[in-house]
Amino acid sequence: MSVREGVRTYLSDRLVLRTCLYLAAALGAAVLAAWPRASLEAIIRTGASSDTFTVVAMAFLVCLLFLGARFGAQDFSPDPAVQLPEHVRLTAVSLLGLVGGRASFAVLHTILLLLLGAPFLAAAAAVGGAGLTHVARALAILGAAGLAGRAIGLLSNCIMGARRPLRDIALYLFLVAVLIATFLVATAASPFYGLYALLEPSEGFPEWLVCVAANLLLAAAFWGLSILALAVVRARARSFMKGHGNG
Amino acid sequence: MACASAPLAAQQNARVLCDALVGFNGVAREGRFSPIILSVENPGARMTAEISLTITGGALREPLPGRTITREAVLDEGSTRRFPFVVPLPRSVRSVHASVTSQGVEVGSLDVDTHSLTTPSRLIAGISGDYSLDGLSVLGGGESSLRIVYPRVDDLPQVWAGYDGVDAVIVHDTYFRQLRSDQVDALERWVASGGVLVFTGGAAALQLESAGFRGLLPVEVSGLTRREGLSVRAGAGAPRRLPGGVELADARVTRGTVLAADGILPLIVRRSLGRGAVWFLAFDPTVPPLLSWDGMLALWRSILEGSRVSAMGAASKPAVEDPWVSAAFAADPLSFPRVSSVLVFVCAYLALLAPVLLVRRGDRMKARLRLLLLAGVCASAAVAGWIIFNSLLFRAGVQTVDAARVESRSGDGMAFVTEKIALFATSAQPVEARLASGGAALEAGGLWTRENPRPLEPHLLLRQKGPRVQVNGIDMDRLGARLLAIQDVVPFPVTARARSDGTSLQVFARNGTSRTLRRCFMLVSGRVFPLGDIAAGASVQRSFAASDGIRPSEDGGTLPGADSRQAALFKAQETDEPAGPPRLIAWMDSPVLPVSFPGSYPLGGVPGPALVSVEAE
Repeated sequence: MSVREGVRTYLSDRLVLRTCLYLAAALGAAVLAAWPRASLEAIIRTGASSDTFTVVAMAFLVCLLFLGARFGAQDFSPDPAVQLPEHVRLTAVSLLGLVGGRASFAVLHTILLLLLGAPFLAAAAAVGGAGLTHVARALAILGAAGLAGRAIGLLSNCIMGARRPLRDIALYLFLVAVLIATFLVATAASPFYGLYALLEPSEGFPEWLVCVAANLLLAAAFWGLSILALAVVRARARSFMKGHGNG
Repeated sequence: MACASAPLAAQQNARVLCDALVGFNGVAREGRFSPIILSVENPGARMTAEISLTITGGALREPLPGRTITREAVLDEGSTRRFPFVVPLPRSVRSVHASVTSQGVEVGSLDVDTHSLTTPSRLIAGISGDYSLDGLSVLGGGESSLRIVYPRVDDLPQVWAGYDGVDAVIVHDTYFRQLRSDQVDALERWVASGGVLVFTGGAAALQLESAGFRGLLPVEVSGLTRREGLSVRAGAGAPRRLPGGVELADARVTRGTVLAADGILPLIVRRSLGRGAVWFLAFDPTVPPLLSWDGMLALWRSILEGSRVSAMGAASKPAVEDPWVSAAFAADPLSFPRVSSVLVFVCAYLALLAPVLLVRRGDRMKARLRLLLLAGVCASAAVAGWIIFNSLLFRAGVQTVDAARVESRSGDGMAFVTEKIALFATSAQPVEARLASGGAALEAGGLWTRENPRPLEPHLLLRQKGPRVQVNGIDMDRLGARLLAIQDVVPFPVTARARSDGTSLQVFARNGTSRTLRRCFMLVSGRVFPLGDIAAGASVQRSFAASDGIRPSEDGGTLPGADSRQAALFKAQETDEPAGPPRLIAWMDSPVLPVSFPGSYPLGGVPGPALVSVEAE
């Protein structure tokens, strides 16, 4: 799927478009729920900061990871008549081009989703103790994490094919496992930690940048694994065809 | 003199040698600002160096730097230069570290353990060639609760805050040394801030004018005279003749009130200056027969009565709990935007998104158009959300709430200013302060949080460049507030007179400053007599019937023309004392002291109120 194809299909399909509206509504609900009710003076007196911005950013992250995984796994692709593994088996299309096209569209679509949620982050910034730079950094973390989620989704699609309950369970479990593993092994790489630490002043190398870089690397790694998985599928198909032809 | 020197081993590799003199001749009062003179000897070639002084506070595990003051200096070849500093010495202070760096390399350093140099006792500084004032220590009552220190004339502070640690300065004998003009100016400003300065007489009084005290003295000394059998009063007792002769300064009162005289010869003169007073005693209390006079201690007690309010500790409360700041907050409360406004924003955004996302489109062109529309709506909403919730309904960044008190006496020509600035930041960020006054006493409150109810002073970095000071280290927490207190004595030529004959009141006020005094009124016996605004350089003369005055306490606390912040500040600062002297009350619109915080803006876009209180003649 090329960028052009993606724009045509994703921006025409009602299910995909409704999903965007649901995402905006969910984020709007998060903003309303997390909006500070206490007086500002009370917050200053007690030293208890308002967490509106962090809560909205976390809610955005959860939505992006969920949607990214689903979009990456092509769950919302309109009527996928020919599934990716079949496409690879049956055609000689370049695997790099195939995954690269999806990755390119994933970047564009993720930017669109970020734009969709940006008004809520902007509205929650000052009351949540964030500035314009924090909003930009949060969007960068969210974008990188969203791309990593999409790459995980694509990998699951490459390995397990079209949507089915078992694949869904495996996809979500894997996604959660990756999130937990990054938090435990390299805390700075965890997007949840990245968003949490965004408003905490720190010295040394900026943590948000580490988080963005780590998630982009993760996305690249999963896209690379997807190419590998598709290469295996194609190799098996060829050997099967060879065996079948020889027989 | 108690000089602290760095160990020789530590200085072997150094290219300059450092000495430090802490406090007054090696004694400093803890919990007060104190002078420190750093002496740097450069035996080598000429160099440009950065001199820094760091005050290190005590902590359970490791010392915490409290304040670092740096300044640049040129150290000539073979020269010895003295660098005066004034630093706060809180009770927790452990040591002072001085460092001299040139081109990024430390060329000399010195550590001074301040434990043995600080004392909780009250201090009186005696400028005297001998230790003749030691007898005054009995005024302290308890053991060692009052110490007399004898600083050298050359070591006297050059800024008023340097005297914060002493309750009184007694000039007994300058041993023919002349004070520099900045030292005299510092003494005058310190008196205006609440200090007590005493000049004693006798033969040494002839040195006073040549020593540079002419502008401070309440008298003009013309010579010496001797009186036999001087009649003096011991406290409330009957006058008693002193045996023998007493050598007196022959003086003429120029300003001040004569409290005791022998005929036309003034013996004791008092001059009020700001919050403090200057005393002149025509006699030398340290020589017989006055030395053994039983009324001498009572006289000293009456001179030294009351304790000066320290310049330190003005920022000892959380910002919003400071009475002045909380008054400003209460008058113009900060609040988050209402949930309803967010609800409207969310609904409006979704209402714009819905048609773009839900209207059916088919072909490729339409998909592109939808993409553009969607991006346009989202971007517009993001910009609108930022403007509405970060600028219009609630401002992001650092806001300041400034409240000041300007205290002066008519004719003094100067005022003691206390300015409290609450900084409020939406996000965590460092804040820089720029102060165009090198002599101000500056304090920054720590970050008060639930976990940190008694915070330490932040590590302030003060960079001095001439009279300008750049302050860094005022790091803000998100949605946190911090209090900064600055005290200084500034020129303030305002004259106020009130004459009352019981039925009418004659009021005169002249504003010699360069700024307009707003909504002025004369406060006489708790009654307010409005005068309106007095422009810079203008005068106002009014007559009132005594019944014209309004009582704010009886009229719902309203003040003529004052807005809610000004009225709240007046209420927070003023005590209703009908018996007090008449005062001219006014407001100034913008901060009084030359301090700025780049990138910040005043709360609600309105500068904080400054309450001016001038004691009328």
